[in-house]
Amino acid sequence: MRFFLVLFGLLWGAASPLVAQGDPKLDVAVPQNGAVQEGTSVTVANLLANSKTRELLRNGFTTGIHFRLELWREGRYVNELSDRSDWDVFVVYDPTAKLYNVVRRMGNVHENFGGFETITSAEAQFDGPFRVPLHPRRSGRYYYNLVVDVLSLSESDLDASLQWLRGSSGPVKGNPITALRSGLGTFLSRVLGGGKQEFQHQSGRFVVP
Amino acid sequence: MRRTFLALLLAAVPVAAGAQRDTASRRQSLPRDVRREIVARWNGPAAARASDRLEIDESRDVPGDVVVLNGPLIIAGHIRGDVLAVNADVLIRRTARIDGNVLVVGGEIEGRNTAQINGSMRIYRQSLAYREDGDHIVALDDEPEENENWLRRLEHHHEGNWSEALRIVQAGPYNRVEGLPIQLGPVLYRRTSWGSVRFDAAAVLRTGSSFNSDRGDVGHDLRTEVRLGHDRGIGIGAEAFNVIDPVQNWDLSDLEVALAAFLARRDYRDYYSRHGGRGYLTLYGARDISLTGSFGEERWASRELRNPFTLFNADRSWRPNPAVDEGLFHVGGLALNFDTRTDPDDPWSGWFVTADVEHGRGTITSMAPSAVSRVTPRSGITDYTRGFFDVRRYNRLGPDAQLNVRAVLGGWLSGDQLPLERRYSVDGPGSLPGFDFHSARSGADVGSCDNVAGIPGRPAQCDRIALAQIEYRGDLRLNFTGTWEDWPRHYHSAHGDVVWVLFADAGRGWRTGTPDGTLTYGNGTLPPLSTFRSDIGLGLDLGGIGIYAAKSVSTPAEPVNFFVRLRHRF
Repeated sequence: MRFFLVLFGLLWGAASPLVAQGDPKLDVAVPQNGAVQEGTSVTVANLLANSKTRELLRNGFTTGIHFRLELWREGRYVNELSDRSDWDVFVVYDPTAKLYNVVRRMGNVHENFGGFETITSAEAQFDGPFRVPLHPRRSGRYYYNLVVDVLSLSESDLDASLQWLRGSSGPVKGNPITALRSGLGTFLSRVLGGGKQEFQHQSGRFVVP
Repeated sequence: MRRTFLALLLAAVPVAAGAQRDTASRRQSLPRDVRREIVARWNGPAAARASDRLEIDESRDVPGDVVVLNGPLIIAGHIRGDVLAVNADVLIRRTARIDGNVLVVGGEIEGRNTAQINGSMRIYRQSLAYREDGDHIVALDDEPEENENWLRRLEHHHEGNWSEALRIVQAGPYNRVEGLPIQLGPVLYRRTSWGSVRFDAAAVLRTGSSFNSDRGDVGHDLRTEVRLGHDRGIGIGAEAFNVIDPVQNWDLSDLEVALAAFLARRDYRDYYSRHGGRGYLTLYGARDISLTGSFGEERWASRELRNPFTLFNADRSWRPNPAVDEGLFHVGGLALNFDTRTDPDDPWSGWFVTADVEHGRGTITSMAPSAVSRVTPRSGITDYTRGFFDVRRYNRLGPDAQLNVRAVLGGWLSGDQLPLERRYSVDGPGSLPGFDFHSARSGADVGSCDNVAGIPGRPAQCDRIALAQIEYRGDLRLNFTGTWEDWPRHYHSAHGDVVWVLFADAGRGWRTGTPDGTLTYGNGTLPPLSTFRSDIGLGLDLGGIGIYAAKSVSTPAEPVNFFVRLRHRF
């Protein structure tokens, strides 16, 4: 019992509120006025706000953001996955040019947004509404579910191992309790998400006659 | 208690993470190799060319490439070649059809989702800086020498040829017989026109090791695989190994086993050593299904307990690692996996099916103690067949609720009695959490099929097991994780971060043979359902961490068990 108390305490503590740079936001537009065939548009914000993600990005680890948009159809007893669409955004820091390069890839469509001096301006390139051709093909009551994974990628598994071994914050400075807290947060993130953060959002429901 | 309080106190201290805002913006120039490609294509032959607005109407059929400078380019007809738009926006209408590739620089594309585009599409938001030289254009040389090497590395990482001189990976979960097993060694991958070849060679080091190879402390795992086909095809592989494997690993994840061992000195698995080799053939490429057949020869042996470091409970003893039947076996197997889950970590809908059949034939040189009455076959050769079947169905009842069910069947199918390391058990937090894992009980234990006290480690001794699980997951509409940026999973919108889970489980193990009404049943007989263990429970899933309480129903005297899961229960 004591073990569970300690474990829960550690987990709770590791999840204590941090001074975040902005809560990540996700939104999926619901088709209006019967314009179902147009699909939907996805808007996100602050996906790179996490201080550890930014630090890893500055230190040469590519940030990969995987988007998965699911279209669900409500049934009498269970909801069924009607269709899904996946795409990725990669943000890479080029230390020689001191620019953050942004690329979006969806199937065989490849968009290069160029390089930007700041992470914020790089993120602004893919924050805006992005149209996704995912739409119902028969009548029913539907909703969208958006899953976004933010992952710091490495060039190789060896890099990943080194990243794990040295941690993301480099040498510890200052308060050892702060260091412990930060380490626990990182540990928790790696343990539960394999070094990734996952965000989900559901749209409102809409009806296709 | 003081340590507990200190840990809680330390964990609860918040951290001020430095916030950094940056607002400056400058778009990088077009990569040099792209500039060269554009100039070459503009200056080359084209079926349609324009330095300003160009419209391909619905009735028009262009037999080759279309190149446009400044634009805009409006496409409603059929283009049989490629499209190049330089510093131009492109509008593609529903009726458009493009057989080739599309390259747009310094512009946007509208309507790409509704038209038929057979080739790839590349879009560069950066404009091309150029000067005109007659009918030709020349890219200005004062652009920075940017290239797309970083992008190519990203795009083609592990797609082309690659190798690593020293790859370091974890070889398995932290456990009481190895500590932390680590693989070190080179990896080589070559992609060919007909498929690919991969070779891995690794030494297996263990933190619980004395590094004395005579005692088998340093293992190895050498593996090579040839794949015929790229996206789908046949893989043929061979493997030579000297590793430690769990007797069964279907109930808890590696991560949960490792953390329980490292933190609490509780190891939920038993282990034995495998030394030998095998060859295998696998069909790959289908989206949801894979099929693998294998055959090999391996020597099985018991693995002695070590005493690896643990964070808590250092004063407690580890549960002994049970001895196994030692000997040399030829093992053939066939494994089928079918997975249509929406997400392996957080499935909302779909099927997950694992089915495998194993046939073993060999000689047991040392039989481990067990509660099972066992005899050595007259020929000295043990010949057995066993199977394992795990089917799960995930059902989304609504945006915020799901009902999931699982059935597991495993065990002896034919032949001689199963060696001890090929038997099963069913109890503990991974299967029947209302019952303590391998705990001492009086009388017949239908979880591990033990009826003799005193066998070290209480090994799994069932010939067969059956387990059914059901759970309902509903949203509590609480935003537990909020802005806690380190938490790995966040739900937004109406769906909260906290899910309540109501579950029930029922299962048992049994031996096959002459029926005795308690532990042993006939070959074609399923024990009465009234003899099954059952439990019910309730839990909270806090953004990925599940905290549960389970209570035995079939044995009311069993106390309530509390447990933590770091994945869905199944």
